[in-house]
Amino acid sequence: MPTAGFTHLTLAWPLAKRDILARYRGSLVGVAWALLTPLAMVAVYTLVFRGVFQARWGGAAGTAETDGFGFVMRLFAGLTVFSAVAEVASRATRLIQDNANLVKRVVFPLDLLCVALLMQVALHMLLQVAVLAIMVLVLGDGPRLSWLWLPLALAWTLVLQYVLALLLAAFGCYLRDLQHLVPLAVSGLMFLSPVFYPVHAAPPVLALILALNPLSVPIELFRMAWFGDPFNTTLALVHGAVLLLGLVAARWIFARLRPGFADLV
Amino acid sequence: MSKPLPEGDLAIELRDVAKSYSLETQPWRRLWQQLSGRQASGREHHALNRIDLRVRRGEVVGIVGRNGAGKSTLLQIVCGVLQPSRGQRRVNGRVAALLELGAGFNSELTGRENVRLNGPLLGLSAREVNARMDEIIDFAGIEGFIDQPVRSYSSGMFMRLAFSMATSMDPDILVVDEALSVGDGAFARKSYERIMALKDKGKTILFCSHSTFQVEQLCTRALWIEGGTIRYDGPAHQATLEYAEWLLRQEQGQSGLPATSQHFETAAAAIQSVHVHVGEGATPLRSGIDDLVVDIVFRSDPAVLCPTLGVVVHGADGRPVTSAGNWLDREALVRDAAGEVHASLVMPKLPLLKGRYTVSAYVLCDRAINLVAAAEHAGQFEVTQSHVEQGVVSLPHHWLHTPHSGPR
Repeated sequence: MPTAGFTHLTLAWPLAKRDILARYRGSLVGVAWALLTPLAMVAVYTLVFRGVFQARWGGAAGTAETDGFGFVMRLFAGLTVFSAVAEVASRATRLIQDNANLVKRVVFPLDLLCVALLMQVALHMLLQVAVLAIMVLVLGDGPRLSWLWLPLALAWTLVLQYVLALLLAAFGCYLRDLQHLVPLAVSGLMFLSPVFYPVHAAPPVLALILALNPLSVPIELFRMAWFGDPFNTTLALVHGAVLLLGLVAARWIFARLRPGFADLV
Repeated sequence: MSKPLPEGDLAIELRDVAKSYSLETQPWRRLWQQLSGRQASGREHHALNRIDLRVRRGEVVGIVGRNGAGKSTLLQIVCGVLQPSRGQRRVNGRVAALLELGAGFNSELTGRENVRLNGPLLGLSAREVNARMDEIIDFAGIEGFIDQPVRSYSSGMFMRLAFSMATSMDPDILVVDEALSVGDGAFARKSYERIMALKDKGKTILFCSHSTFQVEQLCTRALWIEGGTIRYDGPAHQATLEYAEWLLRQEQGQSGLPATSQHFETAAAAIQSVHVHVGEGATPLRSGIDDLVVDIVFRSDPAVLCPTLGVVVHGADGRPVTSAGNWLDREALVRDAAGEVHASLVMPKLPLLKGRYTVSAYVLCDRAINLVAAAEHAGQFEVTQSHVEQGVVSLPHHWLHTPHSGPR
């Protein structure tokens, strides 16, 4: 049973580094793409939702805080969590096939591929968090006590990513349809997750979906930590318990399906 | 071999190992089979059946067999890359798998980065990689390119770097799948020497090759695998013989030349022509009277040591009847500046008896270990005879007429 011990982490990091280096090698601005992409997305979404739809944060008549930069920062916060999870989910479905050499030719603890993927995405996420922190300090209210919740919000996101990575990597190896299905689901899920609006202000039609969506809690928790926005603790406790169960189940399923990988890639 | 060996002496032990692949095409069913752990009920392909193998520490074991016989599957199971469907595998010591060289390399990164990042995959710590970096680069002989992305490497350079890295990790057990043919002649020789050095250090080597010749040169013991089972396990020369004879029996009944006839060339050498003719006079060749002359032209890389040349004469059934090699005869080939060699082999008053024969030419590395070019059954000739002597060859003989003396 592979354990994510220290020696294993030292194995995963070179893998992550290899992919990061390879990804930006030869591009002009290099790792700045990790920032340019989400900032451009925020700009576009802000333009559409604020400029075209005249949307306000929380739907109600906005205060100064939730208009303008408040809106942008909340959007950026939600998008940071969402896009990190979405990237892991989309890439995990191809993870085993893309590393066929490691599966077939080398003795390698394959769950580390998931860890390496997480490391890459986490690195990008940390960059975005740093930029968000600067935005909040310069344009927003500055630091507040609720920032102490940030480590939990980030850890929650990481665990969710890890569970998704294990499950989608293992199932994606068997069911190739997932490679097409997951990106589709992800782009739809963006509107069914509290990225552009808070949960409490969502229309009743969406209430059930938002309550079931595993992204709701980490996104809301993240925004609660940054801005002190309202947060549903009961829902969070239920989701937390389910997530931990999911972690155990995902590791079991991955270990169970792993011997079949080499025959399939 | 039937005697049980003490634990510490065994490097590799496979007990009743089998590997089968499900031929189930429905993804959902495959997934369910794997998840539920249920033995696949449907059709299966058995790549390996009931393999029992014990390799002692320090043994050099070759594996011969046709494509698809299960050689690679066996090596992968020994390395631990594939899980056996049944049976047990035990391996004592660090295994270096030369199954696919450069498996973890990324083409966008430089050679140095790849070595650094792949070290841990081979079981080297970062410190060990740094300590061996110069040696690895030096052995691969690509100093000028080590800081270029590996996508700009020639395939030979890529293989050299990967081989250099894989063998520098000081393994206890080396598993080699056809890796001796890496790069040009000079490097093939270096890599062979490195493997020999590991052999001399008492490392265990499992070595699979299509070249029965290499297996005989390197190994003391060999397995012949066919249809997923070990058909023969014993001295290397015996194993290759069993395999060759079996191949021959398989081919009999098939028309034309043996199916295994191979023609290939490498960067190190290419055979340009093989021309068979009778010394002076017209064909067909008269047994015991005419000379057989085989003219061979091949070109070789002038940068590597001059290769050696071997010629084999086969009977109509494909079986080798006789052969000659310039290294066996201690006769150096004459090579021009461009690396081209024109050589003629003469077999005076050819003692072969009537029949049809074919001629194969092989170019080997300077030490006659690696095959670098081959033209099998490239020439043919016919022999006639005016007498009724039977067989394939007329050997020198005489009769003794000793007077009858003493009691019978």
